[in-house]
Amino acid sequence: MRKTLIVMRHEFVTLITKPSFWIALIGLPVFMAVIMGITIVSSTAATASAIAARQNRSDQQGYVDHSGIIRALPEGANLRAFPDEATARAALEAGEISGYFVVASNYIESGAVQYVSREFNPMDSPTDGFEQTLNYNLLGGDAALLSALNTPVAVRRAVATAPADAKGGANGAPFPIMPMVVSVMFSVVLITAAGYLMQSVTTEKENRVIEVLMSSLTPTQMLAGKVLGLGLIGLAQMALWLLSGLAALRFIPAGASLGVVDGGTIVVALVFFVLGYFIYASLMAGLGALMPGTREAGQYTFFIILPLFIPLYFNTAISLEPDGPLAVVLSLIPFSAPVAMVMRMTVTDVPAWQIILALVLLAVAVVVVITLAARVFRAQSLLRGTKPSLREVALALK
Amino acid sequence: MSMNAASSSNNTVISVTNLAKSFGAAKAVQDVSFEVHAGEIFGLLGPNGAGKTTTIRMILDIFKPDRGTISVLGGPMREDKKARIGYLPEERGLYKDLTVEQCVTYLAELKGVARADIKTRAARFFEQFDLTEHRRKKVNELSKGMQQKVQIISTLIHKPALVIIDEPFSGLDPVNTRLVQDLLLEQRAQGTTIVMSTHLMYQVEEMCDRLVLIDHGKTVLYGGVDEIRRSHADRAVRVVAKGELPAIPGVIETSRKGNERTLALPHGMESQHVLEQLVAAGVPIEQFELALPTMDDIFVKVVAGGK
Repeated sequence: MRKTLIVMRHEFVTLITKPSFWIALIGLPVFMAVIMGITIVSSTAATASAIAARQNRSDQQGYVDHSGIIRALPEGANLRAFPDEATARAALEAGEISGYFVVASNYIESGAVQYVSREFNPMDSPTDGFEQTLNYNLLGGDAALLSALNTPVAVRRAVATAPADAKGGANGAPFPIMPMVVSVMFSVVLITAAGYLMQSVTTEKENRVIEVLMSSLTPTQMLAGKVLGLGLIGLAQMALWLLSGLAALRFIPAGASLGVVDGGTIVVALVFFVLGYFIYASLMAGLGALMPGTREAGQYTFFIILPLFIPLYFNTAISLEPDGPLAVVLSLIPFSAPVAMVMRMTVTDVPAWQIILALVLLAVAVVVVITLAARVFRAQSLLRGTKPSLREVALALK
Repeated sequence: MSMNAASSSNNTVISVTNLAKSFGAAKAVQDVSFEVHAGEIFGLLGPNGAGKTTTIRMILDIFKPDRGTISVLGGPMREDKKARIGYLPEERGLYKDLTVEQCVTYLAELKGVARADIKTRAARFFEQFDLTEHRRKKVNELSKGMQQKVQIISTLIHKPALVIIDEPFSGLDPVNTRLVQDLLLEQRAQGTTIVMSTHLMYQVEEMCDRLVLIDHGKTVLYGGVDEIRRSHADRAVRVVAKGELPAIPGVIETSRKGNERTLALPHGMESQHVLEQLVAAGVPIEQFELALPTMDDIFVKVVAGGK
C-alpha cells in the first residue's frame, strides 16, 4: 500500500509539473469557449439576418390546400392560394413566391404539411406564419382563441411537431446544448486521463526504467498507483472544467436550453465518470503494457476509445429523444454509459432503475476489465521489447 | 553440475538449485545451480543469451521459475526483501524528464528510504561521483557515463545487503571504471554481497572471489576464481630472468616476450624440479610462477568447447 501511494504521488507530481499538461488543461476550455462563442455569435447573427431577410422580403409564400381547412387568412398573413402543386411550382420557378406549403388531404389525421422552397436554409424558419394560418382556421377563424393557444408553452410544442415534413431547425423547442457539452467534456477528460496513464507506462518501458521498478515493487502496486494518481488528476481536471463551464454558461444568451443540471445529477455524473475512468484507464494501461512504446500503442488507442465517441456521434438523437431506445441502450452499455447516461440526465429525468442498472453493469465491467488489465500488466509483457503477436496477447490474457 | 541444497549454510545469501525457465519453445534457463556467500563478489558469467539475465530476474522474483528452488537472504523471496536488494539491470534506464535528484529520490523511496535520509545519502554520493553541480539537471542532459553513475547511486542508496549488478562498467571511461571498481570493493569491505555479471574477464580475475559460468542455460563452471584457474592450468611455468636459460630435458619454451618465457613441462615433471634446475644453473631469476590461464582463456575454452 505504501509503495502504491509513492507511485501515486510520483505520477501526480510528475504530470502536474509538466508545462504541456497545463497548456492542455487551460488551452482546451479556452479553445472550446472560443469555438462556442463563435458558434453562438454567428448563429445569433444568422438568425437575426434570416429574420430580417424574411421581414424585408416582399414576395409571398404560397399554399396548396388539399384538406380544405384554410377558408380565411388571419390578419397580416402574406399567403397566396394555388389550386394545385403544378401552378404553385410554376409560380415558385417564376420567382413570384419564395416557397409553398402543401397541406395533405388527410391533414386532420396525419398533420402532414410539406414546404417546398428554392433553397434550404437551416437558419430560416418559414413555417411559423403558416402554422398560425392553419391554427387560425382550425379554431374557426377566432383570433382571440389563436392568441390564447399561442400562450401556453406545452401546447405550442404539440403543434410544433405537426408539420412532419417541414424543414428548418428552429420550429420546435430550442436545441439542448448541455448533452453535447457534457459528452465532449467527459470524453476529453476520460481520454486524456487514460492517455496519460498509457503514456506513463510506455515511457517507463522506453526509458527502460521498468526493470529497476520491478525489483522494487509488484506490477499490481505499480498499476494501482498509476491509476489512482492519474485518476486524481482527471478528477481535478473535470472539476476545473466543470466550474469554468458553469461560469461560462452565464454568458450564453437566454433562449439556449441548458437542460437539467442539479446537484444530484453532478454527483451521479461523477460516479459514472470515476467508473468510466477505471474502465478506460485499465484498457489503456493494458495496451501500454503490451506494446513496446508510445508510438506502437498510439496506433491502437483509437480502437479503445471508439465506444466513447458513439454517444457523441448520436448526440442529436440522444438530445432530442433522451428516452428513446437508442439513448437508453447506449446509456446501459458499460463502455458508452459514462457519457450517454450523463448526456440523458441533463435533458430528462432518467428512471432510477435505469441509472441503477447502468451502474451495476458498469461496476461489473470495471471488475472484468481491471482483472484482464492486471493479467496483461505483468513482468513478461512489461519487459518485452517487441510488438506482441496475437498469440502472445492471448497468452498474456490467460 | 547440480548441487545439494543441504550444502547451504547461514553464510549463503543466494542459493539456486536446478533452476529452469522457458518462454514458449525457447528454453532460457535449463539447469542452473550455484550459491553466493555473504560478503563476496560473485561473478555471474556467460556468453550473450546464456540465460544470465533470466536467472537474475528469477532470483529477484520478477519471473517465476518453471522448476528449481531459489533462496534469497535466508529463504524464499518476499516483498520486504526487495528493500534489501540493489539491482542494476543490463538495460539501463532512468526517467529522462526528471532531474537527477528527483529520479534518485523516487527510486530510493520505493526501496523504503525516508526522505530525510535520501537527501543526506544522495548528497554524499553526488559529491563522491562529481555530480553535485549536475543534481538539478534533467537526466537526458547528462552524458552516458554520468547517467551510469546516477544509476549506480540508485542501486546503492538504500544500503542493500545484496547488490546484483549487470555489466557495471559498460559506458564508463577508465577513471570512472576505477571509481566504480573501488566503490564495489568498498561495499564488499562493508559486508555487502555483490553478484556481478560482466564480460570483462580481467575484472573478474581482479575483483571476484567466486564465479559461475552459464552456457546454453546450464551451469558449466562453478567455484573460486583461483581454484578454477589452477584447475585449468596447462602444465607450464612462467619465468622472468635475464640471459639465456639452460636446457632442461623434456621442457619446451613455448613463448618468449623479452625476458619473460613460458615453459611447458612434460607429464610427470613438477614445477619445483624446473626451479631447482634453474637455481642450480645460476640463472638470475626475477619471477617464477605457475603459468595460470587467464579467465579470458578459460571462458573461451569452456564456451567454445561446449559448442
